Amino acid sequence: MNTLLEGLKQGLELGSIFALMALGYSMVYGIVKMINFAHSEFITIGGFLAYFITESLLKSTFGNSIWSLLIALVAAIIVCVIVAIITERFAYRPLRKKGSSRITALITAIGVSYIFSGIMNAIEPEQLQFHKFVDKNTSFYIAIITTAVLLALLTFFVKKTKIGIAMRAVSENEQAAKLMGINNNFIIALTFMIGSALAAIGVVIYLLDGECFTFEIGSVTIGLYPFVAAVIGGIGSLPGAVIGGFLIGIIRAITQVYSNIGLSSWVDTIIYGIFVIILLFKPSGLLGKDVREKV
Amino acid sequence: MLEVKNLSVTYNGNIKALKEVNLNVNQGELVVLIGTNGAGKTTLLKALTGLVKVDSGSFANLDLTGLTDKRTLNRFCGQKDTDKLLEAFGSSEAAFEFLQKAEIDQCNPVKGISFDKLKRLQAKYQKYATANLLRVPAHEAIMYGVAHVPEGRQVFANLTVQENLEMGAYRRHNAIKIKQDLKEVFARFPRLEERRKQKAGTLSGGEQQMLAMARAMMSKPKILLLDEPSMGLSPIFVNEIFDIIKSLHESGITILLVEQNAKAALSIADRAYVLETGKVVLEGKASDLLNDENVKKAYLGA
Amino acid sequence: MIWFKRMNKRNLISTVVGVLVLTLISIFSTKSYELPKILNLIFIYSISALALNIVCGCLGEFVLGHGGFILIGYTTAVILMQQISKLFTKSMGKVYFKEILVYVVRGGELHPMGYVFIILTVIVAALITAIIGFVVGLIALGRLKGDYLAIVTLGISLIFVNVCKNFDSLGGGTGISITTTISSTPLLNLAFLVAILILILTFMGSRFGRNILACRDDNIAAEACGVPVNKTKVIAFTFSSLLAGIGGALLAFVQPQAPTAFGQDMSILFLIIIVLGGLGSLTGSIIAAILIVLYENWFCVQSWVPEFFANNPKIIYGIILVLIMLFRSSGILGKNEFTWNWFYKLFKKKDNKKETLEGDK
Repeated sequence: MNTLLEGLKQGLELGSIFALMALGYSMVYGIVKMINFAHSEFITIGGFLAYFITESLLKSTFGNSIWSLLIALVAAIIVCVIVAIITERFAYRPLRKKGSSRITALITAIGVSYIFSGIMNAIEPEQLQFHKFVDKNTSFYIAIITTAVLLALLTFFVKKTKIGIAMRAVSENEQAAKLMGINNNFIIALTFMIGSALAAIGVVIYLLDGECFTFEIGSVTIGLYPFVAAVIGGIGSLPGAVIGGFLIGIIRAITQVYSNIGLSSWVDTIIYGIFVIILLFKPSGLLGKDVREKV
Repeated sequence: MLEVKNLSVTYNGNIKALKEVNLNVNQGELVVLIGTNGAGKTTLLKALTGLVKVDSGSFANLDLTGLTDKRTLNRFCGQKDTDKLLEAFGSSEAAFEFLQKAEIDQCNPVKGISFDKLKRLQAKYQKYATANLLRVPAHEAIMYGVAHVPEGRQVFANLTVQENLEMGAYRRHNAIKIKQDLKEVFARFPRLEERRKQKAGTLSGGEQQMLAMARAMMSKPKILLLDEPSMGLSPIFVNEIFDIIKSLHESGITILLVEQNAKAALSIADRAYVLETGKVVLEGKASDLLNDENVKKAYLGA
Repeated sequence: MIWFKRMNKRNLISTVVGVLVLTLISIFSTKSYELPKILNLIFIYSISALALNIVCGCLGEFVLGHGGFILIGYTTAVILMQQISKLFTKSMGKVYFKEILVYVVRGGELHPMGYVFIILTVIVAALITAIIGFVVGLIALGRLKGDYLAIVTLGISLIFVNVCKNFDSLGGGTGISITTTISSTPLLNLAFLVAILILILTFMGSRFGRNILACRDDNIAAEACGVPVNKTKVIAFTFSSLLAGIGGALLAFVQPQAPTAFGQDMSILFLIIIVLGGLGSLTGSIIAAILIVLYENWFCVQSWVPEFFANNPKIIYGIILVLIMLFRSSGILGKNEFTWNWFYKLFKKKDNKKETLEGDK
């Protein structure tokens, strides 16, 4: 029974990390209606950067202190945000300007993701181990609290602030939003920035307790799970993304607990199975809004 | 106030939607643009607010220099500076005269506003007061006092009525004034006040049209571009919408109205243009057009 | 067979000559070491890309799980050959079975019985894939569309991969090879490609084909015109998975592959191919398949090519994809097809430029 409890705890931690990443997918999809495949590479970039900075800071005066972690986190966030802005500016915005179809946008996103993934592979093909700043227990609390706080902040931002409402307006009707004087390019870039910052925070928390990782952390290790979480919860819904994240995190952790009966090797089947079933019965996700088709 | 010259729009490189259209809208006028489907009416409005690309040589001169009232001054300078300017010059007309001057001499006539600030205000006024609208990106058009109510209403369905209205005032920053205007708008559209917490998507078509117009009003426009406000509405609502347009016009707003419902539109308008396959084929006083034989045949079904 | 009737004499002869040349190349390629592999892959990739193009290009629904269906074809072929091999070895002894089937590696021909076995296996594999495709299509296509359909098919394909990975008889994570027992020849793959092209042209020229195109342009308008949209979609999807099954089964006789290779990466590879060639353009898919196979198997292994290209195909693919999308989002051929008319025009004077690419193949 203890192991099951342990599993649940681990699942909650993993779930809150997935939730943070899912929020990015969800917000970006909500506003530009595009699966931002490059999001998983933002995760990798964040992880790599945090790793390299902590490695160099550990040798400096900061040493093993919390400061080196915070500096690494901030640097990771900044770089991720910059990468997101560049991606949006040079790959996605020209497409929007041309009024390209959604399939074009999706393929571009895949292309961008491939480029980043290839670059990461070229930089460091070996497995790395993040410095162990905190033990498993502390990282659990950090993950839960960070997710809760960020979700609350984000909800407030989207529901109550002017920019947040503008964000929802753009996601609904870009043309009308323009006529209101909303600079949609700015709003979309901002969404990408928020999403990638959340990805960076998520990956740093993931690595916090001395996790091993490779350049495939975003595209394979964490992979599509955050996106699946976002879709399960209902794309465009912030609490939905978090619920989806927890669901997937817990399933994954519980299959690990029962690895003695071979459950862990079936984790993909279970998660994608649940995902497909949920989508079939509720195509817009658990908390998503049903969009009626207008002729 | 709005002078359109040689406005041409070409889609996909070869489909000419507008061919050298010329028209003008004077201060305080209600001008209606009628024409059949595909005549290019919507394209014209979209071109004016930068939603479609125009051909080179097109020109739409927006001239706000004739406007010298206090509200316009407020719009350009903000509440605080307006007060100071009024204090220094006595009247808003004098203040505008000062802002229009090409150069400010070294002595500063306004107390409480620094020389640099004054220069900036002047530059801003000169930028926004006379402009070629077609060079303005779509999201900036509203800063020039142009509000466009698009075809098919296009309210933000998942935002509440109030949030929709707040979006109308997105580029304004004076919270107190916005609240005041919100009250004004609700007074004009009492139906919207009842439904202020409701999602806009749950409103009926007519209410959505009202919301779209109210939303545009929230930006305090100088000129309102209305694109087929009566489209898809029941006859009762059509009348109501036209009454509202009339009352907006009477309260001094300049309106360029695009309509298929020629009879109703002509009966409330001052002047009218008839657009056919991208060209203005007829223009004149609305009352004259209402009695014109050709118009009667083609648009009034008589 | 409208496409056949539409051909004039010159084009018919050109097509026949083209196929004959390819046949001769395929037959004599076995003399070299590298060429058969490249030709095999070109033909198989073309088949799989055509399969995906039917759903993505012609039907306009976006599928990200193509690799999963190829995997089913592949796995079925592997299991079937394993069972056949066991059966025959039991009754005749291993050596004799090999005598019949194993083609002598150096310059030998495949025994006619071998062809029969391969063809039968491929057909069974294709049918099984089609059945699974039908079920998936029936469940998913009616309810989902757009990105959701794409992501659900991706999820389903990852389930297939996960399941195959968990069976030790399939070699687990590393995959199993049947090419040591029997392997196919470029000629056979070419024959399949030609047959499939004829099949697709006939299919797309039929009423179903026109229904599919109608659904691509506008679901609701098609429905209003009496096109059974859901049925059409499911048929197209089933047809596509049938072809994907053929591609996968043929692949099993060419090279061993781990189940994990059929996941996201393979699905995306075929997406790259059809996008590069032009969505909806059959000949475009084939041209793009040739380019991609040549890039991977010929260009990258040349000694004068910097190692960067071989080590980082992802960067290259990514850049190609983004550039195509930004500057020529319709791909090499757009929605047009390669035609002999266009081909011959290249050699003529360029006086009548305005001739379109469309027309007969």
